This record gives sequence, structure tokens and C-alpha cells, in this order.
Amino acid sequence: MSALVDHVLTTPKKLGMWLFLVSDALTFTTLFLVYTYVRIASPAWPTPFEFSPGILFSSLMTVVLLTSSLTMVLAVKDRERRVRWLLATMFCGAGFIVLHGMEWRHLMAEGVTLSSNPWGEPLFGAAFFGLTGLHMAHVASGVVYLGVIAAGVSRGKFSEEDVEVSGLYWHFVDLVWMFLFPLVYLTAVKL
Amino acid sequence: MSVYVRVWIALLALTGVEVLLAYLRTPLAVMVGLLLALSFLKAGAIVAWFMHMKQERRALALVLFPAYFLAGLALMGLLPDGQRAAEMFSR
Repeated sequence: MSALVDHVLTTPKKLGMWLFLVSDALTFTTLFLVYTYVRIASPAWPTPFEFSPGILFSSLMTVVLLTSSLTMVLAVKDRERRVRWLLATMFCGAGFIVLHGMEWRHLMAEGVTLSSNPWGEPLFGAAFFGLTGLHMAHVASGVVYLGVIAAGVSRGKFSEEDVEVSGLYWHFVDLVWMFLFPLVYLTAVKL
Repeated sequence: MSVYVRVWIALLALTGVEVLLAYLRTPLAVMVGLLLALSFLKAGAIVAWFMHMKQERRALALVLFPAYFLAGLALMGLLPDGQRAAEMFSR
């Protein structure tokens, strides 16, 4: 059976991760569509993000996440320094969570909650925290996942394929942010 | 320079273009269209090079992506109702 899958599509481990990622992508797609729906239904949707510092701060978060994808690719390719590149990826992921946490605290201090905010449309907070929160949960579990892989690799366990499969997950988290950042932040820049 | 570093630089550059669109306060309808196009371009680059889809059999992409896009397209059938809701609440 496994030889058959291997021959037709790809290795079973990679196929398993890809199938999970497609279903996870649909979870995010559903949330994006709900977000689009409430924006269409609410002509007075708030646009609260100042270009500086708000948008520039989330641009920095984007750069950190994109860089973590580069270090992840290098972890797969560079056998000699695999653990080091994995740790660098985890460092960038943790940095992203810290930056995102600072941004959340800033918004909460301004009075944004799940059900209310100072700018009118009450669904803004639910949409914002729902989308970014689900993504942040993915980043956090990704850091744990990579930690397990890095610990195993340093003890001589796990094949290159196992590292590549963890990389698939990590790049997917980066890919989701490529939609979140423009659609949640850039389309809500203060006019 | 390795292909991965080049893809990374391209992704950063495309992000820069997106941020520029926000800086110029492009009208929302135009901006959403351009941002979506750029986002799919970036997502495609991540899938093709970082996730090694270019090196996989084409059958894998044919199994995964049409299914995803059809399901996503079916969900979009809900969006016209958002317009109806907007008209209902404005009355």
C-alpha cells in the first residue's frame, strides 16, 4: 500500500501532512469568508490601524515570519547545521508571538474586546482576535513541534523526511499570514 | 545565491509593494483585488519552492488543489447574502 501511494503521489508521511494542511486551509478559508461577509454587511467597518506605528509594526512581524521560513528551508537542506537552523526558526516563531502579543496588549489597552471596541462595529474585535488568534495558536504549536523535532535530531533520531514534513507545516503557517496581513491589517489602514 | 534566498527576497519585495498600497491609501475595492493577487502569488511561491511542490509529482498537486479551490468557491456562495444583510440593516 505504501509503495503504491509512493508511486502515484508522494511518500505517506508527506501525503498525510498535505491532506491535513488542505483541511486546515479550509478552516482558515471559512474564517476569512465569515470576515468578508461581516465586512460586506457592515459599511461602517472600522479602519483603526495608523500607518505608523501600527502597519509598520505588523510589517516587521511579516518579515520575521518570512525569515523563519527561510531558516526552515535551510534546516531541511543543511544536514550539518540542522539543529541550529531549527533553533533559529523557533527563535523567529517565538519572536513573532512576542511581537503579536505586544500588539494585542496595545489594542486591548485601547478598549478592543471580543464584543466591543471604541470605533463602533462590535464584530471588529471578534473578527480580529478570531483570525489572528487561530493563526497565533498555529505558530505556538509549530514552535513546540519544531522543538520536538530539534530535540530528536540532536539525539540522532528522525530522518530528513521528518524534518521536511515539519517544514511543510511551518511554511503553511507562514502562507496563512500572507493572507492575514494584507486582508486584516492593510485593508484597515487609517484613512 | 541559492534559489531559496532569492525566493525570500522576492517575498519581502512583494510585501513591500503591499505595504506601499496601504501607504498610498488605495481605494478599498482596487486594493483588495491587488492584495489578493499579490497574496496568491506569494502563497504560490511558498508552495512551489519552500514546500517543494515543484519537485513533487504533478498528481499530488492535482489531487490537493482543485479540491481545495472547489470547496472554497462553494463557500463564496454565501457572500451575496452579506450585501442583502447590509441593505436590510441600513433601512
